[in-house]
Amino acid sequence: MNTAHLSLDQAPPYSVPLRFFFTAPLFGSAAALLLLWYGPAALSTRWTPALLAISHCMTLGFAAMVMSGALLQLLPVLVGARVRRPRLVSALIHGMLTPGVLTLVLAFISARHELFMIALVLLVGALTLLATVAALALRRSAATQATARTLRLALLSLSVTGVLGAWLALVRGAVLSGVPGLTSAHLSWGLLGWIGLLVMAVAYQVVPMFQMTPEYPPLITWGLGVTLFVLLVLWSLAACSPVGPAWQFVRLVLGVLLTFVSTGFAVVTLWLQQQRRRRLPDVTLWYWRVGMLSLLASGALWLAGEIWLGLAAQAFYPLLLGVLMIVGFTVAVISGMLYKIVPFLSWLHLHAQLHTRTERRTRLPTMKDFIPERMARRQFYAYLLALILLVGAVLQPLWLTYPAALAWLLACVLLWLNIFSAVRMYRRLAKV
Amino acid sequence: MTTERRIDVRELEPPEPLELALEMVHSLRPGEYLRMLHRREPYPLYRLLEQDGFRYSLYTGGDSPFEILIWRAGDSEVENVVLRIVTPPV
Repeated sequence: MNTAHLSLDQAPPYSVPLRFFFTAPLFGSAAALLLLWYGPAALSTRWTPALLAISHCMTLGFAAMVMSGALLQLLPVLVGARVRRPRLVSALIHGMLTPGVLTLVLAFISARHELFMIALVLLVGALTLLATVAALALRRSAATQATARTLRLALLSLSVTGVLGAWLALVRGAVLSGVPGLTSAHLSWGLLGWIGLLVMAVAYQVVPMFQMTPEYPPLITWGLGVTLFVLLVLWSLAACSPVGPAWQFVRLVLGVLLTFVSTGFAVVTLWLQQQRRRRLPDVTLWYWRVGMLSLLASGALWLAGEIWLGLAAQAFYPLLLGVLMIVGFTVAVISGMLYKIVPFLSWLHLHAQLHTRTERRTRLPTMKDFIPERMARRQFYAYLLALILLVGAVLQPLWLTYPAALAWLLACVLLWLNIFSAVRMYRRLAKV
Repeated sequence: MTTERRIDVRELEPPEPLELALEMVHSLRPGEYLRMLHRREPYPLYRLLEQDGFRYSLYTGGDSPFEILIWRAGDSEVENVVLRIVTPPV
């Protein structure tokens, strides 16, 4: 039985996914430059326009950017689901997402209504297209495994995040009025729903595959994603409910359960990594460990804030949660994945270009040659330094904001250079 | 006379299974097929096999979670044997 009928003509050219991966570190650098420009004042509360611009540079410009490219590329690889017309779809998504994030950043900084409206149209267009083509591809694939199921929930969460974000943009554009809890719901669906579920779905496949660990227990792969999703739905309903001690208790219980689910995923992943069969040093593994530890830390911090209300009232508290979830968890996991995806795609496309065996023997490098381990490691250290300094900057903005922004800029530039070195090698070796 | 060649890539880290399988299938002689024991389904390999003029079939009834049987397109003798393996008589 042939379960996959993938033809190479259907695979998008090398440049299609790479444009997403090329753009993402640029938005990361833009976030660093914004932090340098606005300085410690940007970190005074979670609501400063500069910080909102910076956080959307990271979540949309960096995270959603890579995830779009990766999702369109990895669906065929991981679950055998083919995306139709990948060239056109990728060009459209990238073509709307990039100016969309730029406009949103400008909108936050300038507080101009019409910019929010332009950003809204572009971003809703990009994300709707992404969710639709990915959902259609998943529907066509026969895959019923846990990864495909969790991916569907991640896409649904992306849609919810987008709708809530659009609502917030309409509030900013003075078109609609807001409701309490709207921002929290947008944040939770984005970070835990879309990013969290997507990371879970990908992890079920790539952690055992690349890190040579045992498989995730079936209870986790079948139960965790659905539980997280259902809890998010209930939590959002409770968050919109009237104020009162009973509802507050329900919200607390749901929040604690959400924390257990997400930190449970981190614990299982770290435990699996402890049992890996090959113990070679590997930047992806380090990145994933940092990501999982950050997820654990943000869960612990959230719980601490719920128990000790004085902590949650501090201005740095939501910022620290944000740094841990966005830079510590999301960026780490994504960067780790990039170090596997980019060499793999470079190798795969080069393989397709070289037709004879002799050509392949003499001109095809191994996947590990595309990004030298030494360069990847250097970039990881810059990232780690940036993460530590950013955590510090949230607590001590006056002293550490500038060093943190500089370290963050360095990490993004090095990441971009590493992706570029793989592309350069591909270009040099491919037939012209 | 059909001969089976076998590789077990269950303990190998990507991309070694892919690289090794491509190396081996290109050395298949008429009458030979490759049985690849894998921990997962190698979708990217399928694409490359089709492109290079091979046929493949997935067998999930063995000891390994996934067994991929690969032969040269047009080698009908091997194809008959392989198809008997993957679809046992009821």
